[in-house]
Amino acid sequence: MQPLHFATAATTATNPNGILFEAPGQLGAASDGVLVKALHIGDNDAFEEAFRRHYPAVYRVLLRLTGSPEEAEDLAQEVFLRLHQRPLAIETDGEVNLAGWLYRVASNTGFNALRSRRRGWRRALRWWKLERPLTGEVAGPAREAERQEMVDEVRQALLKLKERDRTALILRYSGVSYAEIAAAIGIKPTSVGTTLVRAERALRLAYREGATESASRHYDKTLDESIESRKSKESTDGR
Amino acid sequence: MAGNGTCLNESELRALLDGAVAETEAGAWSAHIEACPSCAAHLAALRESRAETTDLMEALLPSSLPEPPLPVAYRKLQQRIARAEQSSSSWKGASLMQRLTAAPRRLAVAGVAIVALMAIVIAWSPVSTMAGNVLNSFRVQQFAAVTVPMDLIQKFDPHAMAETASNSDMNLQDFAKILQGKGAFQTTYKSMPVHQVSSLADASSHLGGSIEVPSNLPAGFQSVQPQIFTGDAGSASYALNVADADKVLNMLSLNAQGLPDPTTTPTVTFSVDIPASAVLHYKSGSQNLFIGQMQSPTLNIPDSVDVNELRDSILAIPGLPTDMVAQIKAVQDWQHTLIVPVPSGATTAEKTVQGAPALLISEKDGAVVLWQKNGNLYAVGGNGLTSDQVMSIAGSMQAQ
Repeated sequence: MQPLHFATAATTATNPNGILFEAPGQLGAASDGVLVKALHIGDNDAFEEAFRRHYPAVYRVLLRLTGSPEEAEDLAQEVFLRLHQRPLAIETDGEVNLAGWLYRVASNTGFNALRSRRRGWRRALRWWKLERPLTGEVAGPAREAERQEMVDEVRQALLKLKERDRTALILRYSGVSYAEIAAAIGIKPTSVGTTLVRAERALRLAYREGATESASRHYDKTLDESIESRKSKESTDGR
Repeated sequence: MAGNGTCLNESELRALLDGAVAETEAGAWSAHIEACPSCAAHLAALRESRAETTDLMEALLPSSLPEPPLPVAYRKLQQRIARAEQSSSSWKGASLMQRLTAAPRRLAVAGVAIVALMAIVIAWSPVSTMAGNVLNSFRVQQFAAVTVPMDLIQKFDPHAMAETASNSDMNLQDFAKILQGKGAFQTTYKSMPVHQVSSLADASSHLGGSIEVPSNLPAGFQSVQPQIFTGDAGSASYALNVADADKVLNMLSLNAQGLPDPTTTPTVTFSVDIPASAVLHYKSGSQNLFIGQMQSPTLNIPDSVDVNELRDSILAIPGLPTDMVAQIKAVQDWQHTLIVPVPSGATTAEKTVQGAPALLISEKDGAVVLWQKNGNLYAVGGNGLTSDQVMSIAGSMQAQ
């Protein structure tokens, strides 16, 4: 109902070209570079097209980082708010990598949010989330709590990595291409592979250290169970 | 790079593993690996190491992946952009008066935002007359000033709160999120509730009563025609799940006293009604004069809630400046008083306007006076105006 209302209003009032989301308008074929130039002169159609093109991927990165659909949506909006307020610069050679810029901002925004979760509050939030578990297959709150502990450890481990490394990791595992990862962290595309290998090594190390600090066997068991349940789900899904 | 006979480096092997290599190269590289035990072993090691990390990284995802529909997300974003533009003009930078007088239209929006802020603050010091037995209905009868550090005002500004997700201080936002998860929030407020109208008669009919205008204006303003803005009425309600609220408060080591027994009263519904408002804007050179009026907003709280106890619980939320809490607690007759947060640096005085008690707030840039009469709230203020000028304008207000 609401989307319909939105589409109607936009079509009739502000957007005669009907860019919208179902049918990209004339900007649908424009390159990201053209969009960014238009953003600099405050073109709302260009902003809408940029949103249509990149929001889902930005959201997915943040969903993985935060584990919370609400928070991911909130932070993804913050990323695009920033694009609206201070669009990325256009290089002197005219080169623009909008996706890379968005991914970098998304990663920084997400990690900042993670860092500022305080322990006491994290506990409160977790309790709050348990009321509405995100995972369908998990048996009960106790087990979900264990899984959540493990996931927290992974997030803490990510926070210990260098900014470049953790950005590369979160982007890669969100399905971002090598070229866009390279643009986001400012390295050559040919160096992405080795950056990933080193970042993954650092992550496993940081995770083990963190998990050892707080009863590693417990977490490993939870991790194994979590992997098993995911695998069995995948096989039944036929993927 | 790596041809058929040359061994592949780590980056190339990893890219091959991730399928991030052009087809022609991938074919050549794979052929090399088949013939080269060393590269094959290297690739296998990388594959295993990637699999281990994949397990960790995949665990981060919730297994259900709801994705908000794009148009809905886009609409929310547009609202947020509008709010951000409004809050940057009303809150950021410089002094209170400069913020207030930044731009006429934004100012009118800011006026409404201030009223909305008042609605939040009202929860701390509602102003009450008993209306019937079912509800405690709180109405504003007088104002009191409480000095608030500027950074805290920004934190409590609902727009700023929404924008500080990445800020280091997450306490308030987390708290708000918990509350959102614990009750049903409904509002009829629109994202752009302010309109410009062309005549005083339009404003009067919007107010559902007669708009008041000053008969005595300072030199420079006397021949100025004001721009007229109206703010839409709106209401908001929050149905709180009492048992959940108890749990949250306990977790924060706060007392849940004041809330009813959840076994007999599972939910309590708070609501705020804000009537229509009108703002007149007079501009003369760099000076701006604003005159605002509206009926008193009403806060409705079921009588199953002990408002005194609840107020103490709210004031005990950690992180509130102790000095500010002390000032709020010191307000006499708090149920009849709307607390106005005043930034440090401004001075306040209790005055009388047309026989009604008034609160005068002055700053080096200007002054504003607030009063309540016959159930209506009034504000007169501007930049480049002295306290005496503001008081004199206020005293000359009369119905059209």
